Amino acid sequence: MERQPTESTADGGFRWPVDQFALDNGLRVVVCEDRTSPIAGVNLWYNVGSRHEPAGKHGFAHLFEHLMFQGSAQVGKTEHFSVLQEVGGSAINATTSSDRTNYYQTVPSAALPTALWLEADRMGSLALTQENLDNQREVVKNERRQRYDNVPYGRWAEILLELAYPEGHPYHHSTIGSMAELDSAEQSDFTSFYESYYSPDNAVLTVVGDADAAQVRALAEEYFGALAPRPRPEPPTVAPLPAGIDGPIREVIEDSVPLPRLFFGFRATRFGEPGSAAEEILAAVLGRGRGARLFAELVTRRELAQAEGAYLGTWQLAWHESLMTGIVTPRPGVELAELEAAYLEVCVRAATQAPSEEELDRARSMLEADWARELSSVGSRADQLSRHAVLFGDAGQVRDRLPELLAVTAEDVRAAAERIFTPGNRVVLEYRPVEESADATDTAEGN
Amino acid sequence: MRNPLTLPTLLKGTDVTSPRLVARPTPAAQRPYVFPEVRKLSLSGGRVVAAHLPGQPLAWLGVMLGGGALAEPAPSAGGVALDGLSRATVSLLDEGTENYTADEFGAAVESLGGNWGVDSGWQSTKVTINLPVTRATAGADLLAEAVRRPAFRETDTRRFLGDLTSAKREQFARPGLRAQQALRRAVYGEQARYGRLPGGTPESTAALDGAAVRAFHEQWLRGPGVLLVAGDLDVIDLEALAAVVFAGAAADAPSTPDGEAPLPNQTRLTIADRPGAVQSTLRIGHPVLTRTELAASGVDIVALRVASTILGGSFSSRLNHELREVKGYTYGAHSSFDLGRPQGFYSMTTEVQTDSTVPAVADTLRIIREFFDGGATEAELELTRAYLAGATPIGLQSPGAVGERLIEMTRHGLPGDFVTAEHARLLEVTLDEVNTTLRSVLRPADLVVAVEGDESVFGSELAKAVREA
Repeated sequence: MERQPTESTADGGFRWPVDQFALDNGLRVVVCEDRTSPIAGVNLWYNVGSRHEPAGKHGFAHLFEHLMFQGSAQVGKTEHFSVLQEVGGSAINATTSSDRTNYYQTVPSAALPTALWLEADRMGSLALTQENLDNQREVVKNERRQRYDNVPYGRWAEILLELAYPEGHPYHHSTIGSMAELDSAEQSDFTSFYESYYSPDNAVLTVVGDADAAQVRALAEEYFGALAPRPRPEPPTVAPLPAGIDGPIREVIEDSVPLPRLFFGFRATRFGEPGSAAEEILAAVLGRGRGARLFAELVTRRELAQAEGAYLGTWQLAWHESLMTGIVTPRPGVELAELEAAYLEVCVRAATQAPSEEELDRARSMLEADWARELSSVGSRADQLSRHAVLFGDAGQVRDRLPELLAVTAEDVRAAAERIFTPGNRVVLEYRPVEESADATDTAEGN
Repeated sequence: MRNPLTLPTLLKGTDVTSPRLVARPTPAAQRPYVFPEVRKLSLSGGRVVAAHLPGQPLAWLGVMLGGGALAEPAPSAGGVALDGLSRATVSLLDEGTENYTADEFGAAVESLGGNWGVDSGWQSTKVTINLPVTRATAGADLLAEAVRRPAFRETDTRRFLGDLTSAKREQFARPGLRAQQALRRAVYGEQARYGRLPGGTPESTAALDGAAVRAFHEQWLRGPGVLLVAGDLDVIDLEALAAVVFAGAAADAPSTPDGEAPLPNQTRLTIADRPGAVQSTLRIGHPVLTRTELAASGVDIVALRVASTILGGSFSSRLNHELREVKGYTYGAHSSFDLGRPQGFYSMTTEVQTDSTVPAVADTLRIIREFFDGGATEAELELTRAYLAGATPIGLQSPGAVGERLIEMTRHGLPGDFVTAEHARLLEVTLDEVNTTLRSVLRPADLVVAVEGDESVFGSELAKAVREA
């Protein structure tokens, strides 16, 4: 059955203009004019993430992100937020991943100059003081406790990465890093990190909303134009990984968790490479939502697993081989081995049983609506534009994203399953509950 | 072009890279904000409240019904309370209906690109769907199917409630709920429904069954309710939506009773022990009046919102600034006034490293007390005024966010332009009004401290710190 073109597919689901240019210092600028509301989303992607961290310095990219809020030449310590708030800005934050670090805020369009000035001030100068380092190290350690160490299963992704990527690979370690290595961080580590990566020619600035390209160009020239580009070290060469994890790899973790649970990791295609769109559709067909095969088989038909919103997801890592991960929890009385076999059976069957048109349509509808929701706020639309500019050198490729997903065929999905669900390409983490909690010090220190 | 500044003269001892930065600009005034046009209609025997979002490709539809935790049956003598029954019932509305199996229904929502949501408060329940506006009619058909024709088949209720019990166990193993539970128990007493968690516990969830769900639905959720819509009303046919959503509704539904009053003598400190925890979860608060009661007693809701934001409602709030940025105890600290029905509550929440529990509690109580005594400053007011004014349009970009304001409008009987009016009021509220308001609502001496954490580390010292605060 031929899919009827809809209004949203005609323009790739992206109905706004995109302007792009670069300043002489190499800063790339993307502008997406949208006069719906008198606001503007301002987003900066720095092309640096935990993948750039050398051994012994894990977690430094993320700790550095915290330091970016601690003041610069013309901004006092802790003033960053208040400078934005006093001009009406909100949705102010930053995130660090293995691939990149993004900084963002949304402001009334009248305050766009202030937001750009603030970003330029910290790009061009930064208060890298010992006091800021000491304080933010404690904040980050509490972030680690809150998100990883003090919650059941909190370390699953961290452990899975260590098992799925070889020692020394840029994706082998988590972004949050270890307590011990954070403790060893010195001021000079961050000075050189800043010099290396927070240079205008290593960033993309995106403005979405109530502003046009000429206006943004003038503001970008004014605030960022005089910042000099700085040299960066060549990234270390990373040999491509084999198509599959050399597994299966299994780890059993006995921990104070309320229920047993299985986590799976499968090596997958880099975001943007041929096959990655098919893997997103595959994950939705098998593992996302009520109409997914894993739900129908494990929850409804066989009553082996707890109901979950998603059993399978793609990480969309962009610089090296990516990861697909799964999660499933047994119903009381169900053996983990039986559940694991049933889960993998559904996955493997997808290599011979391509999705029906109905299954494809459900997956496409979900992803198409997700995309519309993603683009509906100026902040997340700006983030997508920055992402496409950094990864593909062209923010305009944002228009290809939805058509690529919608063009995936049943055979593409079947082939993706055949590629991903091989016996060797698999990490299994098995959590088993123990009565006593693990030694508190061990948990706090991580590894 | 502004004059570039030479940095090393500006900031001694700082590592400065660029020699040329530009001076800070003076911002222009924000443009005025007007909330989308709201239409309040009576269609097909029911009430409709709709916000018009021209050109918006997504839509949000909701049905607000009665019930809520305070409608749950009181436990018989020696019996187990059915806490969480309201939430479970509204969650089961889409788990199998007259015309769909549970899986078919979920797949139908997903095939529209829809996100299904349910919520259950103390006195009301909500079912919502967020989807492309072109699918709004089909989305309303599904809302109607769930709300008017749920099947509650035994196989579905047994499976769903079993999973819910496991999910509750997991939620209780995560920090937060046990602190919240301890706080409510200390303020209202465990006998009061209000003194327990609205969503119940693993034990109360395990006591739920299909019969209780069917009875609760029959008694509380069969009324017409209110249809809420946020989307492009040039595309959405409100009359058609109302016709399907209100068809088959019972004439009326009983109104949910109000909850119990707080205990006369409350303990000031309560601890939920969690041996080995590397962080302590703090929940510190006291009851307040509802929005309607406060407004009736002359309290300016906008002034209270400003005061609340200064104390604990943004990154630069007093609580977050001191506990995170100055002391480094935590990843974040917040406080806010929930002015919902039938009772409001002020509460502060944070997670702090275990060995900072005592100073973090002492500092929190001191910060709140100092704010009460000294009030906000003119600089804080101006910053917060601008922040909140900007946050209104930024926070209302999605139909779902507009829908939340429609819920608030409906719960409290507010006019269609209340967001616009509050926005205008924000621009003129004075420091005196802010400080008078906060002193009429915040009561530092009545704060109850609930801590979930490793009691063996901080127990006796914490009691002393709270006594002396």
